[in-house]
Amino acid sequence: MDIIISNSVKDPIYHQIIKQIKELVLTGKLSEGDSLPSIRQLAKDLQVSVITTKRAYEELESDGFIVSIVGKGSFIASQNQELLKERRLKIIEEKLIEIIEESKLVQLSKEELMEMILILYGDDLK
Amino acid sequence: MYSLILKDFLMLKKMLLIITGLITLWYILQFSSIFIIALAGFLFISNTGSFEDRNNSHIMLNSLPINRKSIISSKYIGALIFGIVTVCLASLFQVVFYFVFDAYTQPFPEVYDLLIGILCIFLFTSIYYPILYKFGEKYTRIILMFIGFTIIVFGNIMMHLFKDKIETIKLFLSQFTANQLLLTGSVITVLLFLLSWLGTIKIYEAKDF
Amino acid sequence: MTNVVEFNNVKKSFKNFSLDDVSFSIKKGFVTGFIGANGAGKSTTIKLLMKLLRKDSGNITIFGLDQDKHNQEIKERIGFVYDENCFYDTLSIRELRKIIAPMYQKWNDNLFYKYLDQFSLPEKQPIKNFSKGMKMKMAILFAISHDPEFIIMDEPTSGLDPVFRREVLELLHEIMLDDQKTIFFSTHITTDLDRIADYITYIHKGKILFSKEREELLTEYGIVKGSNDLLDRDTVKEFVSIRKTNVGFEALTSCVKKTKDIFGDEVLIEKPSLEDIMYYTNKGDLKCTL
Repeated sequence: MDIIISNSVKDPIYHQIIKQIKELVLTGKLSEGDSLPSIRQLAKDLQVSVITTKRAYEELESDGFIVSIVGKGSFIASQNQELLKERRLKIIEEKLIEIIEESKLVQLSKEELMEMILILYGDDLK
Repeated sequence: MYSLILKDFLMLKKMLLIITGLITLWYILQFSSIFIIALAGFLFISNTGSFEDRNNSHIMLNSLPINRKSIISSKYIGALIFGIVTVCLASLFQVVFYFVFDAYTQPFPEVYDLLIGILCIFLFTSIYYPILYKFGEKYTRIILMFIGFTIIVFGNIMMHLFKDKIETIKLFLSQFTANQLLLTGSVITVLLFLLSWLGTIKIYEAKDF
Repeated sequence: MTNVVEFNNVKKSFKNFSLDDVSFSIKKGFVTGFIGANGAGKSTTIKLLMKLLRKDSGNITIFGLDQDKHNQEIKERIGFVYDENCFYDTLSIRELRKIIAPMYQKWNDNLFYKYLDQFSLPEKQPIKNFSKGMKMKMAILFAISHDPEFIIMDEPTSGLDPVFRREVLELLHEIMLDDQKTIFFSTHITTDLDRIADYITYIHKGKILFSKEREELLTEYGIVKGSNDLLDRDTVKEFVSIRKTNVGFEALTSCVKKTKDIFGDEVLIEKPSLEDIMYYTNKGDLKCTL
């Protein structure tokens, strides 16, 4: 798991941590049940204040991304599967809209596009 | 407490060797035991004092879980222990020198000499530590020299002024046996030692670093 | 959140300087950095904490215990690192251990030898031959070998090279993995604090100006840069202090929000460094009317 913090960006550090963990979850690099480093270990690795990492984890928890169990640590929460899928579908939808617009530009018909998709999809199955 | 006393001896490892060497030399030169014991004591005590001061050790010592009373007490007890050790060493040396080198008229030093020697150590300790802890190492040397000087000058003046009275004093003292005089002297010295101990504790407890 | 240390209305006067009614606390489980200009009172405060000086009045509690009544008990649980050499320099680490170890009930030889090895310190050489960095490592070694809950350091990294300073910070981070430990250290090197401090206590001319979360501090304060035309009698009052130049001014504000409301886009507001805060505060007076 990688978290890269910038000191020169205006975004406060706890915010950057939150964003990056959310992204890791949404892109599937972190999945349900994966354990996160303790707030102190993270503070040590990033060389930031423990208060910062604590705040980041607290917000992630209230947003439902992670759960913290006393004595065991913090883990990625489960409900994210649906959220993940939903977000993914949205990204796919956005990309399809882009593709359709591109197709229209080169005057590719709907059927030609579908054929292309089938061929490419088919290749994947092999 | 043990490790505090140990520290004083560890601190002066080299010095202890030098002192032993000096004691050997003095025995070769056949100095009196009183002188040897007293001087050894003087060297030991003044060196532990200056070492302590030089190293800024008060800061380290006071960060340890010990109270200031113990720090001072370890000094006085250390002086006592050193006195006893020196007395034993002195006796041992004289025995060796008597049998091996045929020096000295008798194998063991006179008990009187040993006692007076150790009393000198006590006396010096009683004067030295309060001054050291009150004024610090730099000034202590000056103050001690001043005291020594004053005693010599004062003593000489007194001798001149009271030439005639000296006979009366001698007569007065001859009433008592040597033992009685020694006993009185011992009691006074020990009392001074204890008073100095308490006094130095008070001084040290009030000190700001 | 408990406090390891509480200073309440502590006063201490010297001929030329006095600590005036100092009150602050040090929170358990965190690293508190103690900053202030030379002569502001840092060493005095730390010495009072360690009972090297006796306070004139006020109250100091450590671990909830009165400092006067429980001195030994408290010292058992504190590790102290002082910046000057205060160990007997003719002795070796081995000999010092013989003196120091018996004083602590919780002395841990496993810890001691582990760190001795980690710091690569020679055990039998007299310490007067040590370099400055080695002496500091040794001071830390003795301070942490009895597993103290509270570590106090007075300028632990002054005079040390940047490489070594980082090593010290790494070590402190390692120690802080345990949430029962607390560290309090005074320093001039504010960049060290950027890498580890959770709280900052700032002392200025014998008074505590603030004791706050570091990150919060850096969002509340700001460096304001703008045209000299913007400065008039009223606006000048908004800043802690101002540095005017021929090409514009630079100032410190203690309330970024308010400054934004007043000046809007006309000024550039940047995140300050601790050094900026110290510099400008030293120049002016502290104000916050949020």
